[in-house]
Order: sequence, then structure tokens, then C-alpha cells
Amino acid sequence: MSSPKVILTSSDGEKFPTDPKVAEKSILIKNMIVDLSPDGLEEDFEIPVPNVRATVLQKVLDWCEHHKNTIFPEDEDEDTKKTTPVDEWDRNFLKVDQEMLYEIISAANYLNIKPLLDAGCKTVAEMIRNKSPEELRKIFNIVNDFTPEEEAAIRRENEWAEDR
Amino acid sequence: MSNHLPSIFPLRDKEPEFEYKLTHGNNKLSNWLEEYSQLSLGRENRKRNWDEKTIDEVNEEDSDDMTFSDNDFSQISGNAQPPKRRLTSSILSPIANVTPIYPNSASSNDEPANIQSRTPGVGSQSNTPISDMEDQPQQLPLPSPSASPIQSSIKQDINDPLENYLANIPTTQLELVDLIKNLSQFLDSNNRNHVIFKLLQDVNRSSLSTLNNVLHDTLRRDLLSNLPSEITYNILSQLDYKSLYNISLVCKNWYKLINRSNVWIDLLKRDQLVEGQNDINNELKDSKQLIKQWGFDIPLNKINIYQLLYKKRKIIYNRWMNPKFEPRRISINIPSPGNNVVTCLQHDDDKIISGVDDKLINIYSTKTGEFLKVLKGHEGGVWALKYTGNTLVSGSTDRTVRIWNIKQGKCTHIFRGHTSTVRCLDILHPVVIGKDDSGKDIIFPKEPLLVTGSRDHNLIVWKLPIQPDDGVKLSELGPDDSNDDEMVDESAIGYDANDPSNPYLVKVLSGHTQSVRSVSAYGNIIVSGSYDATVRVWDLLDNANCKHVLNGHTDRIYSTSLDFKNKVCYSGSMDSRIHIWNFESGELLHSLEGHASLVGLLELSKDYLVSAAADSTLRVWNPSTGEPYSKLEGHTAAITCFQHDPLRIISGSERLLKLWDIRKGKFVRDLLADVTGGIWQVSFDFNICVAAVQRNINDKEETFLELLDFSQPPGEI
Repeated sequence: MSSPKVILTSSDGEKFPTDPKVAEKSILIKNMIVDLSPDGLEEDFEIPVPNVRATVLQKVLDWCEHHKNTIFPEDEDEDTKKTTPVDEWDRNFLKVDQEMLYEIISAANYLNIKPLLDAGCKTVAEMIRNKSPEELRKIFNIVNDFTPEEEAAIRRENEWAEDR
Repeated sequence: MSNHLPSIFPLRDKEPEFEYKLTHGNNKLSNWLEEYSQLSLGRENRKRNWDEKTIDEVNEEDSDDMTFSDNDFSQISGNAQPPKRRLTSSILSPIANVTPIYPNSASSNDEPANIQSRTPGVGSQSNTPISDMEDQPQQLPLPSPSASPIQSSIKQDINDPLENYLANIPTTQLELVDLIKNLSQFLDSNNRNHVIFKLLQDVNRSSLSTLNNVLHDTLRRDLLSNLPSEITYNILSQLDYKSLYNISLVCKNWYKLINRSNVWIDLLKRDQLVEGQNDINNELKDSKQLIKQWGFDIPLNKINIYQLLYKKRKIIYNRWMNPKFEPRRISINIPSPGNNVVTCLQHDDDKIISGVDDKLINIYSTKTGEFLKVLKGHEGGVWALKYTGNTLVSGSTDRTVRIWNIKQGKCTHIFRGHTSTVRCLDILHPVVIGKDDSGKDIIFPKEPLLVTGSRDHNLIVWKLPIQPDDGVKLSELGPDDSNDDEMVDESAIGYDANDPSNPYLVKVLSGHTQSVRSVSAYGNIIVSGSYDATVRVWDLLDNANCKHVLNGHTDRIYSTSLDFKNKVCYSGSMDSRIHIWNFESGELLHSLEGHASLVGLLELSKDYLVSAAADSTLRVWNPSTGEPYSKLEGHTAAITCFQHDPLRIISGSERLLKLWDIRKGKFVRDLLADVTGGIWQVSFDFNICVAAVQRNINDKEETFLELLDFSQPPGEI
């Protein structure tokens, strides 16, 4: 007898039969399973994921599968977490277009998968770090809506930081 | 090698999945058209029934901008019932008889063949790249208009748009492109994606790459503004201040994003420009002043006060680290009859208090350097001194401990009992030392205590009589004229440790067999280091009994430190070693080697243990593992004093006062260039550094307090 699966259904109706151990990387799903069957799953258990479309859900589940045995440090040490660089596998995993990155971060937030959310945030931070305002506008497709006077005023206020 | 050549049409063998696979290929097109028509009506918010809709109106909508209608569909299929759900009801639809338009659609599988039959121009040329299509425009076997005349008399108007498109055989490439595009509007969104995928299967690598670039750039989006604010904050909290400044220049919305308090509070703490919330609160007590002094130019009239505080602190920090920056300097000549050593130095933003081995304790204003008060009473040199609030404690070669009311300039208590010089002392404040069974905090000691160590081999624990503090700054009271040179206030009451009725005596700690040279205390634990080469641990919760005698050093101990939380204590010895002990078990955890002679000074913080030795070097260690971080070389004589914070170390020796970057373990700058004698003491905070130095003036050794201020507002420099 094969062990029971969690069947995740994406917003567009795709079904993803998933090993509970993998699905439980999502604290949201983990809590649902614990609430509904505290003694563990006895049969397949269907959970709709109405905020995530199939392509993104597949991606997120790939991540959960890869990290199913990873033990992530607890939240308590915020400083350590912020200074540790993105895991190499995660870095490659998150080399996706910005729409997908946006949707993965949103999905990780909705599903409560903190390590994936943090990796996503760090990836965005990497895209921003050490870039000029002009480069940032280009990277994120943003129009400069400052008046020249406003821009000059902010530049003056920030000027002290240029020296060193 | 040729086996490894990439495929020319990389998507050819890929199976379609998710939103680009064919769905409900057998769904009756008529039903879809019906839905489409209804949805179009709904979208336009028209009240009319779809039955009344004219062909022209439908056409009008069909020729809507492609992007618009696509968005609209995906939204509808996501939120409303998608058309495919209606499949079961379609059998009875009155327009079922339009199906002959698509002769193949009756075949009951979802195979792509179904689509190929609708758009044969693409599907049948599967080996031809899309760019070659123009060679065979005439071969397109489009559905013939002749197949369409059988129409429902009732639903005629729904089919008509489709027929309209099909009625005209395209004669040019442009018309064909238009036709394909127009027809694709009759597909549901999944299947439209599927058609695109089928088309892409016949696109070669180079063209895929071109398209990929177009797509990739199109998908760029403002990732910061559109995510939930706590996620945006998570991203921002990974960035340094320069990146945040660049963000502020991108657009108005991004400017607003970084102009939030928590971003800068977080960064202030992360860059260790403040040591805690207290620092921040102190700085913001007078925020108007902060804005006036440090806001050069306030854009959009609303700079965040924490951002401004960050700027102030960072500028001050940069000044310390810039060897070319000259701080404002005040030299205070300590009038003294002889060649006097400053033995103790402590300061805050109000006052500087120095103990001298000529019996006097002098107090000066931190702001101006002016003399404020002298505390007279000791009959011998002051060798140990500490103050908290308005209460000052001093120990002297006269064997007494004195308690002073700083603002009154008066000695209030004299503790007798030591039979030789009082050489070291520490104050124990009530602190949380753990939790009881019901989870409530245990606070110990109940009231502030004082522990003093002496050359008489003993330590004595006293209750500390705290002096009332009205919060007024000493410097605001002005200089004290009543301190007549020769007058010594004798109103202080003496208390003897040998008198059992002494209300201040807690316990005499006996056990060391030579001078007690150093004491560190916190909570219920007292750690003492002695010339007898042992460290003793005393537990106030166990009647102040000696808990452990820590044996391991082979020579006199000069310095100690205590980390109560981690149950660890440190000792520096004349045997050139530093020992790390577990004071709970008494175990020697690490013995740190490196110094070549007496380790006279130790200082501990959260991240660092710093030691200074007579070998003229300082060393920085990991306080939990004992791993050496760095060795600071540059002094030319024994280190006489030093202090550190999370960012820097300032150390003094003969003639030199040096600043070091603690994280890099590197020399930054000399802080005083004109000292000719010793540097006895140093004390610094984020803004200023005070050093007690000796200078030869007109062949006479004179003692000075040198005050270096790095915190002047830019306008005042």
C-alpha cells in the first residue's frame, strides 16, 4: 500500500499528489494536516491552493522536494539569517524571470515557507545592491517621476555618503 | 561530438503542460462563443440581452486590443466559472448545428491534430521555420466559407463574427496574420496559449532566443512596490545605506518605501551605530535640534527622523575612521602638586570623573571641559572608582571605601574593614538571573550591592547606599565654589566591617592567600582574581560561599571578566595567558596563548574579548571559542589602558593613543600626536574620547585630560 498523499490543487485546477513530508515545508499546509488529522494521514488529503497557479506551484514543490531533508535554523537569530548568503542551489533555482520570481515570493508568503521567502527576498536584494538609480529603473522597468528639483534635493541630502 | 549538437527546434519534443496544454479540445465551439458573447456584454456593462446584440457590435468588440481581451479572459477564467465547466450542458445547445464549420472537430480526442486542422497553415509545415511561411501562402486550406451556410435561425448573431472572418480568404501575408490573430480570439485562454506553444515548436533556437529576450524584458516589473509591505521590508533590511539611498532616487514610490522608520532603526542597529533602543531614545529627545543640526537639505519636506539619525551617526563614525579628520579638542590641565598618575577615569555626556593617586577625585564638564567639582576626603591615593547615577564609590590606599553624593560633592559613608589598599571594586545592580517555577523572573540582588577587593587578601560585599538623583545635570549646576582647597567635609559616617551591627555589611569573602587584584560581579556571581594565581567564584545565593577555586595559572592574576549569561569567566595573568572558565562547573575551557608577557587588561563584549599586555600588543579573541581574531601591533611599550565597543578599540601606552578597527583588526589612526609621557587612562563613547595623559611642559611633567569630540554638527566645524 502506498502511503497517503497530499493532493494540492492549483488555482487553474491542476492536481499535484505530493509526499506529506514535502508538502509540510509549507507551514500553512502542515498546520492544515495537523488540524484535520492529528495522528497523521490515513488517506489522500486534498488541499486547494487557490492563490497559486500550476506552473508556480510546480516550481515551489520542486523547491520543497529538494529541501525536504534540510533543517533550517530557527527564527531566533535574525542577524545570522540576514548575513548568510543565498544557498547556491536556491540561487540557481531562483534564476527566473521577474514575473516568476514575484509569484514564487508571493506563493512562499501565502504558503508560509519562510526559507524560500527569505531566499526570494535576498535574491531581490541582490538585484538591487550596488546599482545606480538609473540601473534600478531599467532593471525594474520604472519611470522616474521626480521633478528635476526634487531629484536634486534628494541628491544633496544624500551627498555626504558619496565621500567614502 | 555531433551527437551533442543542440536541437534546432528545442520545443519540438516538449510536452505541453499546465496553462499551455490543450484543454477540452472537444468542447463545442458554439458554447464558447455563447460564453464569450455574454462575457463581452458583462464586460461592457451593457444591460441588453445578448440576443439583441447586433453583428456589428460583436465585431467591434472582437477587434479589441488583443492584450486587453486576453487579460480580461484570464481574469474571468480565474474568478468566474470558466466556459469549459459548461461542457455538459452544451449538448442541448440550439447552436450545435454550426459544427460543420469545423469538419474535424467531431473527432473525439484532445490531440493537437484537432488544432492543426483549424490552423493548418502552421501545423502542416512543421519542419519549416516560421520565417519561411511566405513561400507557400496559397497552400493554406482554410475552412471554406461554403461550409458555413447552415445556421441557426435563433443564434445566428453569435456565429456570425467567426463566419465573418472566415468568409474572406486572405490574399496577403498581412491578411493571413490578421486572420490567425483574429481567429485565436475564439479560443479560450488555455488553448490560445497552446496555439502559441504549437507555433513555438516550429521556431528555431535563434528566433526563440530573440523572442525570449523580448519576453524577458517585458516581464520586468516593480518588485518592491507590489509585494506585501512586510516582504518589501524583508528585502530592504538586507541592504546597506548606499543601496537604500540609490533606491530613494528611483521614483517617488521607492522614495516613500525607504523613508520608513523601521528600515533605519534596523540599519542603525545592524551597523552597530547605536547600542540599543536607549541610544535612539536619547538622541530623539530633542529631534528639532537633530533636524536643525544634521538635516542639510530636507527633500519633499518629510525626511524620516531615523534616517536622519542614521546619517548623523554614520558621519560621526566616518570621522573617527578618517585619519585626516581633526576632532574638536579640549585640554584640561589637572592641577596637582606632583607627578600624579590618573588611576581611574569614567565619563558620560555630562561629566568626566577622574581619580588620582594624590587623594583627589576631580569632576569636569564633558561639554566644555570646565572644572565642576572635587571630591575630597581620602587620605591616600584613589585606586578604584566607579559611579552609577549620582552615587560614586571609591577605594584608596587609605584602606577605606567611600560613598559620595556626586552633585552635593559630599562623602556620605565611609566603609572600613579592609586592612590594606582597596585595589578593585564592582557594583552589582538588581538584574534578572533566571525564572522561578511559575515562570516569573527572579531578580537578584534585591538592592544594589558593592564588592571591594583589597591587598589584604579579602573581598567585602556591602549594601550600596544609593544617593538620590533628581535628574539635573551636574554641568547645569555650574562650577562649585564652596570647595575650598583645604576644607574637608567630615560629616560622613563611618561603618566598620568588624561591627556586627553594621547595616551595610553583607559578607567578608576570605580565601585568597595574596592580594585581590581584580573583581567582576553580576547577579549572584562574584569572580575575583588574585596574586595567589587563582580565580575564585563566589555565589551570593549560597551565602556568598566560595563555589570554586579555579587553578591553572602559574602566576599573578591581574584581570578578570564575567559573562553571566553564558556561565563563563575570563582571567588574564602574569603567566601571559588568558584562561576561559566555566564558573558553574569550575572547568577550564580554553587557555589562550599568544601574549609574550603580563596580560594586565581584559575587556569583554557580546562579540569580542580584547586583551592588552605588557608586550605592547592587544589581541582580539572570539569570547566563546577562544579563537584569535587579530593581533594589534604598533605600540612601543606596555599597554596601560584601552577600551572597546562593537566597532573600535582605543588603546594607550607611552606617548601613543591609537584607534583600531576591531572588525578588521587593523590600525586606523593615532589620536594624539603631542603626548610626551604616559597615557594613563582612556574612556570613550560614540561621540567623544577622553584620555588622561602626561606631557612635559617647561621641564615639568603635567597631567592633562584630553577631550576629543567627533560629534560637532557640520555647520559648526
